[in-house]
Amino acid sequence: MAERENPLTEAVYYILLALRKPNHGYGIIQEVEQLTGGRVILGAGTLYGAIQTLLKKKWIDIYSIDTESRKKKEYMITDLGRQVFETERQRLEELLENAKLMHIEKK
Amino acid sequence: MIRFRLYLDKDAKEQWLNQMAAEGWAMETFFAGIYQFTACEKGAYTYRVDFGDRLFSVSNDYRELMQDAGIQIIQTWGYWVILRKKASEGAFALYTDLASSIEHYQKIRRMFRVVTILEMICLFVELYVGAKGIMLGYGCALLIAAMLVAVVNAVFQTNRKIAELEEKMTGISTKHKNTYVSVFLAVGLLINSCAFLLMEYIPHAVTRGLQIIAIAFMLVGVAKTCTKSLF
Repeated sequence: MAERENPLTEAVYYILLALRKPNHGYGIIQEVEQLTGGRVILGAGTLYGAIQTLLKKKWIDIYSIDTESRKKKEYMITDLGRQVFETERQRLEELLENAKLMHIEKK
Repeated sequence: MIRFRLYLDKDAKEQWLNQMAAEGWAMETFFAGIYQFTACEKGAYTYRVDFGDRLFSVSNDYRELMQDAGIQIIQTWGYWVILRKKASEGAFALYTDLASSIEHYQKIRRMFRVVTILEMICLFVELYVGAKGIMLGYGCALLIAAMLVAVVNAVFQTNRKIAELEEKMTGISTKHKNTYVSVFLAVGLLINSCAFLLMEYIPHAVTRGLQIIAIAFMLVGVAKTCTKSLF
């Protein structure tokens, strides 16, 4: 599994995070809005496209389709998705760590 | 209320639908350029045009997501999906980051490119028929040429939009050509096509007259295309 070293977009980052527990489409939008204090409100088009892409990459998977009860289709992050998320977390940590330099080396 | 419009530019179509909604007309159905509106409160709805993965239908996931978000699916046409949301329920944006916006326009551009190729094939077929002596072939060829011009222009416009978005995303300004094809060319081809198709039914003088007008339009179209593209 050669991981792509590309940074994740903010949308993908938060979608993966929101799917640490099973959730359905609109639930993801609501969770992300809550996590970011209203700063990131995903558009329905953005979310739908992202879910299709993440399913294809196998970073998320379908959690359950309960066709008996009219429960919505839910998604959840996969192990591969968790790996990708962790790589991203380390990248962000490095960025924040280096950000301190801006303050320290100020003349 | 019925209106007839031909739009290849989804942003222009969106803008028009929202303008109509602001004036108190909500679009309800659409068929081949014919839009049907019903009266509504002024500014009651916000309309958006999406591009889907399926012809004339949407997936269950899509339907469910839109329903949860309070978005109504009004009409599908080809891969296009016309959506609306009550303005009272807040702002309505489909694509909220540059990356997904770019993907959206890339899908649209791919469709226009495929249509271009299909229409070119049809064009050659009709030219062949015309060369075999059947005038209808040439008439149809001109009609297809008019549509081809419109679609090629659509590819150029979508290219420009994608380039603008990519520039915003990467902050790198690329010098892209501002190519466009003038609508005069398409109209000229259309008039010429009518002249050919109706040749047997109208007086010779009228045919010639139409053809002269058509050629005039086409020349203007070519001139505008070349001058605009060279800047």
